[in-house]
Amino acid sequence: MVYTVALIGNPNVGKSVIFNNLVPGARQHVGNWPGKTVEKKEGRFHHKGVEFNAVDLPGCYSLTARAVDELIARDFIVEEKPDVVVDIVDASNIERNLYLTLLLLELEANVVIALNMYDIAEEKGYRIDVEKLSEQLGVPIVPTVAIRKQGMEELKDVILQTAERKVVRKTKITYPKEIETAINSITQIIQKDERLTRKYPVRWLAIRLLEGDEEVLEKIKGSKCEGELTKAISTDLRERLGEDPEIVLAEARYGIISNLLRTTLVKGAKKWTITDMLDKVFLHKALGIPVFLVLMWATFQFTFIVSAPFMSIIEAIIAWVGSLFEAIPNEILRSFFVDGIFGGLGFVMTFIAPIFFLFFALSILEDSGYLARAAFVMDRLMFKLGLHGKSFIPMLLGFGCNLPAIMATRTIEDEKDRLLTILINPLMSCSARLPVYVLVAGAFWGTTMYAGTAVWGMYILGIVLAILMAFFFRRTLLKGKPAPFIMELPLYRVPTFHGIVIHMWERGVVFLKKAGTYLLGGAITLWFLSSFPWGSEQSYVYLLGNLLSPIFKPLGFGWELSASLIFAFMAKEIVVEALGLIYAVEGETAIKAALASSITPLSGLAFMSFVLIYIPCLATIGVIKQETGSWKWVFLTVLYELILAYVVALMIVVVGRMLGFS
Amino acid sequence: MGLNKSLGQVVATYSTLIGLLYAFLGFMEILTGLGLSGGILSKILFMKGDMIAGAVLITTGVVYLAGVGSLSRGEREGLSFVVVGVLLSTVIFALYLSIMGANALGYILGFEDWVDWTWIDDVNPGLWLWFLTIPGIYISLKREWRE
Repeated sequence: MVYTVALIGNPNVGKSVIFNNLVPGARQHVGNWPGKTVEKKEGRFHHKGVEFNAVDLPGCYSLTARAVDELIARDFIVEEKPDVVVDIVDASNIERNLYLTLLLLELEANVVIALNMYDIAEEKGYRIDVEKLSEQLGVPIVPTVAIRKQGMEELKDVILQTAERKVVRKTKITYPKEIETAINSITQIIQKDERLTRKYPVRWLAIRLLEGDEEVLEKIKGSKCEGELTKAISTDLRERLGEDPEIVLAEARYGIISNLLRTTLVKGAKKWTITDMLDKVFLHKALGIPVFLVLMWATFQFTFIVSAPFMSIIEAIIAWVGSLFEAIPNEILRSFFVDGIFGGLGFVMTFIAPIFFLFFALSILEDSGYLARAAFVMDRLMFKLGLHGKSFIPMLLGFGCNLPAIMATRTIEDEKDRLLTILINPLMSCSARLPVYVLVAGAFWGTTMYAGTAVWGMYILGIVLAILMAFFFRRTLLKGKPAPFIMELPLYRVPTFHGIVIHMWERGVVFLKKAGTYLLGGAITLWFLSSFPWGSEQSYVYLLGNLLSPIFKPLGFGWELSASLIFAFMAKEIVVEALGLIYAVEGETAIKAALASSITPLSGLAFMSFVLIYIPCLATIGVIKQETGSWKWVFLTVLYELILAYVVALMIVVVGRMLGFS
Repeated sequence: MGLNKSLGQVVATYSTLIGLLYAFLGFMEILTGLGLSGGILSKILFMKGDMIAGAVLITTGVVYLAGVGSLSRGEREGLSFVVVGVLLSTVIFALYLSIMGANALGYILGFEDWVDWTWIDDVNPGLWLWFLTIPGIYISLKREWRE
């Protein structure tokens, strides 16, 4: 017997930490919810000889049908009927979190509450009568401090007891009389249809119908009492309540929570917490942005310089494995493995190190709660320039990969704000561009601090250009003001090493998957184009590069760089593969030397900026089409980025020369 | 025990000194980078001429200095600037220490890029200044001053 345990909670309540505590990393399986682009995490764990399948539901504040995350969570509980639903409640923000709890109880889920961040609640001076609250809600409650693994064994015990309990305790949330009368009248109608009563909790169905939930209205379609229900909902209620039933019910729920907490929560004098202290500076009007820039600078120095010897280690290993293929007698086959696979793909693999280092640093910033502050601080500036505050999170995600970042724009309700964020997102420097920066910066500035600064400069350039383009589009194509933005700031936490490593792995593994697909395909194509016609001095790549080189001549790029840019359309890392194959040299040091001897540092900088800005990769183009639903926006993105890339690169070369650089 | 005026003034004096030191060395780093300062002083202070690193030191200095006014009035809010100042100093210190460790690894393994490396190459103001923030760490950890 395997029990299914669903984990649910508001965002930033430590749900993922509890999931990771329950399910060891190796047993976690990450996929997507069927038909959705929302990530689904599940995994098995054992407790006292019993096996459980834990499912991490998306973080949500409510269970309406409006947001995709909420719908996924609700559908899972309604359709899959998990044996236990662990509701993770932030004890330091208990009023708001209990709203979701009430919705779960309405759903007649077999709820266990993990009262997490209990330490922070105590620090805030909260005294919660856990026993009394549990009694009043009719569900077991376990205080936890997930980040320190406190309360985890007790939570597992309670999950086991609740799963083994034969009858699900139905806690009734009693609403004011008028609402109860309306619920009862709808309930009586629903009870006439056995198909509905068998499948859904009747009272929940009645409440959702009362609230006018479109998804639930769909569910009653075809029911023998559909007409009667529609009539009851439309006529009866609004007149009697005098207000939108959804608002009336929400107010009633908060009233219930307030009554519950009146007898179970004592708030002491508000203490001045570490969060208050840090926010005083991190959210400071004048200091907030400089401090953000300092932290980002440190992140990129760490990424570039500290990862350097690890790159060399990976390179040495790849070179050793590659050398084993030198013995293949067939010349073409030998070239395929040695030059194509180990020289091309193998070379890109050395960039695993900086990519994982970048995600390690970003995970520290995210898990500590700082990244949300960065969004808040940047919002002031972004709003002035016509960007919506919610745009910052997709932009930040763009540092990892533009693909999920563009998908994340779905959280932006206003269509113009959303389109604008999609248009500028490819300017955020994704991790695929990092290998190019690392290679070029390393070629000219070695392992000095200047190399790290040049890489950091590219990320800053991306942000600045994104903001400028937003400013431009807001005044031309997408006129108007961004919608106001309310953001919830999580409490600061000391990140755990385990949590950081898991986050780093989840993001970094995307690069590894890409290596096995796009980059392998790219390496084979490139090897073919650079090696054939076999034995000829003028390969296909040479011909292609020469075709383009007059365009790039003012930027100082030779045919080699021009050719490499063509292939980056598949994935930006391919530039690095291409350079390895085109220069026909092996090893990072040799490629850097070849690069340094063929272009000037100024052209190197222009090349880095060109790679940053020009056309998004193939997958990003696909997702832009999917999210905008029109080729018009795809063409606009490609066109403006190509023009912008050329202009910026040219400016770097011209202004640099005027300032006396070469 | 909260932060009273006399205690606040002691912390304010410390904050002023450390803030000015960070800002001054940041300026020196920029001047070195611009070629306007070199000489013996730059060598003694382990200046590397990294202008962005100079700007980072100035920012850290300004964070310390921003709290001086409220600290001298005995307001606990001023401690926020000391705490974040110490945090930034520690981030910079940890970064430079990691860089030194990584370079040492490259040297020990005998990779080409690290053949000429010596530990002194990685010593810079951001690294050694951290040791002067130890009193700041004590202040930051002193919980009762915040209450």
